[in-house]
Amino acid sequence: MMWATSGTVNFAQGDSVMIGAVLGVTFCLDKGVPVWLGLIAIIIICYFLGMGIERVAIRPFRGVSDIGWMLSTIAIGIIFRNIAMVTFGTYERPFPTILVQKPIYIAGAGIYPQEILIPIVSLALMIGIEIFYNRTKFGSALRAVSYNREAAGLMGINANFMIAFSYALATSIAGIAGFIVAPVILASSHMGLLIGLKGFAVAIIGGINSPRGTIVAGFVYGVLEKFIAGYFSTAAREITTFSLVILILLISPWGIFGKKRKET
Amino acid sequence: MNFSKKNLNPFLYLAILVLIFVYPFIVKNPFFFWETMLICIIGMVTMGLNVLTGYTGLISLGQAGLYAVGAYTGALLGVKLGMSFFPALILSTLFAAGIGALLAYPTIRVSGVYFAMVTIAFGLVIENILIEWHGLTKGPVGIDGIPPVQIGSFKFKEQHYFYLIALSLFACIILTKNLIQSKYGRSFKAVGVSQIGAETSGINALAMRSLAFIFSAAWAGAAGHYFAYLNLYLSPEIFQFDTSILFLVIIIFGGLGTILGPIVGTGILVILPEILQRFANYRLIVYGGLILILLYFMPMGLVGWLNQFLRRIRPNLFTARDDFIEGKTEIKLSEALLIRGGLTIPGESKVAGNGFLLESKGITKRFGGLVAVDGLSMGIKPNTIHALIGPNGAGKTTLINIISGIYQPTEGEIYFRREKVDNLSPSVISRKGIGRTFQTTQLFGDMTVCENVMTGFYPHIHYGLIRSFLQTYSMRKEENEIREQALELLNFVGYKGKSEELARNLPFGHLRLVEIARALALNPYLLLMDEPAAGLTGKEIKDLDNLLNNIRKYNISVLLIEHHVDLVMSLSDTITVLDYGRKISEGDPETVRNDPAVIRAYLGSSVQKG
Repeated sequence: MMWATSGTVNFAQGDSVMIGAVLGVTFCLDKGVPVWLGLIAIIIICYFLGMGIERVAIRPFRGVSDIGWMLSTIAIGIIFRNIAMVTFGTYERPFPTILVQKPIYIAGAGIYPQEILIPIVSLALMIGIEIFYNRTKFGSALRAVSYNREAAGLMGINANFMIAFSYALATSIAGIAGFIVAPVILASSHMGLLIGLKGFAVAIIGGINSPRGTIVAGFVYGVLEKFIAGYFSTAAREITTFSLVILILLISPWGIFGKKRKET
Repeated sequence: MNFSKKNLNPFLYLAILVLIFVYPFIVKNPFFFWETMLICIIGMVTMGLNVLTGYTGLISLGQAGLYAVGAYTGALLGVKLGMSFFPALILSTLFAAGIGALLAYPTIRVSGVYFAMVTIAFGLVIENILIEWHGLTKGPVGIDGIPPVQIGSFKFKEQHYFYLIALSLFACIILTKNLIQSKYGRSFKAVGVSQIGAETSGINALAMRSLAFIFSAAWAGAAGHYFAYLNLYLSPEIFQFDTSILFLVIIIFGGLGTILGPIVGTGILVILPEILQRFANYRLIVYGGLILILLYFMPMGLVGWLNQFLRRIRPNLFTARDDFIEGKTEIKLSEALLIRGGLTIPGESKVAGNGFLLESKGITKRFGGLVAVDGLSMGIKPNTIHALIGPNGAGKTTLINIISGIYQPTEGEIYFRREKVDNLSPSVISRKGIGRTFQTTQLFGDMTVCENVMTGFYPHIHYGLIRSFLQTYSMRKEENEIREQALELLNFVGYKGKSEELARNLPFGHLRLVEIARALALNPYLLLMDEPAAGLTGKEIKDLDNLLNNIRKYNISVLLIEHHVDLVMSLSDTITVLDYGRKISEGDPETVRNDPAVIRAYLGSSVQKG
């Protein structure tokens, strides 16, 4: 979605997930804040964080040089990681919620309720975004910006704000993601990098300007990872999945669900 | 300037060699000495990466993967097979280059973020293979016991190894410089700035990107090998994603697309971690902050900034050449220029047979539901100026985009010199002798005017890669000839500005002329021109009229899209009128002018006026 509106990608996205997870642990575990309140706080914090990322790392470089925003968002990610390292510590920490106390057994395979929650939440988010995108005035303004920034500007849409907003939204979603996956995969300051790169890979495979494609690709990717990690090992998992990314781009350079951008 | 520089070079090289020789005697501190060697090694990686990213504009975030391939190949050949240093060096360089070539195939078709993604994925795949393949790489534990360097019975001491590495870097710099100064370097830059502009100058963009990628991979591999025998221990964590980022930061810091930038950047950034140690826990914040500051305040990098500064205080250094013959209205092109490539010889008929140089048969192009060109058949006779006119959206630009290979036609065929040319790539079509200019000029802004035109000669240049690397006498001679002929062409089109000015600084009228000169450098049979008069002043239009007449004298046919009716009527031998993608009229200017269909669709008001 960020790509669609601004033509840029945020390499700090993975670290935003990390922030969601780390803040979740800090708020709900250390400070004893109720879960719902913690989640709202995370959404709000990430919203402003996203705005800030756009202002600091994207706007100065958008349309000037690709290398500029790639490195600036990477730099932001590095800074986030270090801040988390200093405040949160370098260790992995579990985030026990009620939903990971006891696994449910379905056909012999153990699964935590939290793991069921994750696809439900992301499906809900996808539907929400889809509705927001297609049914609301604000959503159509976002699409207008992604289609033609200048023309949208002439129609009285504040393109800069829209791009900032899409970053804020995306970062909030990352925060939520971090909050709900933390109980399953442990929260740590360095968890973000690989998540971010995987997210980027999934977005590219799914077709970078298609939210539906991204979620579908994400599911397939996730399931595939589980299987390979189960049968072989984690490193084998990264090898196969990232090789697959290269292969998919070889066959279809614009992702599976993406449309070829008209070259001008 | 050129002359003095040529004389200066041997002294400079000698000075560097002397410096390399005495360095071990001056620097006794083993830590510094070791760091210097590391800088030389990283320097090789970043020199290669700079050719890829700085010139062709492809951002690689997986260079550490190629570096790792070289390092592990070299180390394993030594440890497992007992191969000696130099054969192993050659093999690990070739192996990395080969991996680069394999990887180039899927990656070069995509650009921007997609390219970055593929390289990231590649880097992660390599890193995890190193972790996973215990049998070969010993996984996370890493490889140790790499034998020290030895040739025959001569054992390299640290000082000897330094000489070897420093000389390799020196060779790397010279080879890179030579490559960049050749037609390949120009093509790299051209592809990076405007792929379409490069393709229509006969440059195969994919081949150039592959070449740049393979070059960078080979140096990453060689550097990896040197690193293996310097560190004598390898583990996967040396080659993480962060290392790839460091390489990229280095070349930006030093100056993208400058020859010395990577070395300067490496020198400073390899030492940086030592400085950052002081910030202990906060060092990554400082590092990230430094990257941001760098991107904000010095996007051109140190060397880029220095170049700009030099340009400002000593403008003569870069804009010295001002060698134009003034005052001739009709300029004859020299025989040498015309014979180059064996294409155009004045007076020779270029077409045998049916009389059409280019013929389109039933061309249709649909964009979704929109039919831009609808069953168009037309022919262009040799040695004529053929105008294509019609209201906006009539499909004129679409048609020449089809002819030049940028679009594929949905239906229909195109024959050029009786050869079927539809569905070929733009670079192949331009090599067959179809040049073109664009409505919004597609010049290479970061290159000088002269270099822009020289790029157009690309298909006619004889020297190859080897002679470029060695910068042989014959290569330099040919380059000089091409430079002269580029200036001659600039003169021919009536360009009166400076030849060493960067193209992006040119006023609009000049841009058009330089683009025409670049298209003529291709030595085409047919020149496609998309609204060359748009935005020009009255005087400039008169000059253009004159120029097009001159071009026709050299047996070059022109297909001209133009809205400027006076120009079209005075110049054209034949006019084809399009409306909604269909041909509504064709003939000489008089016929078309009086055709009621044309008056209705398009010319109405202009005819009454004129």
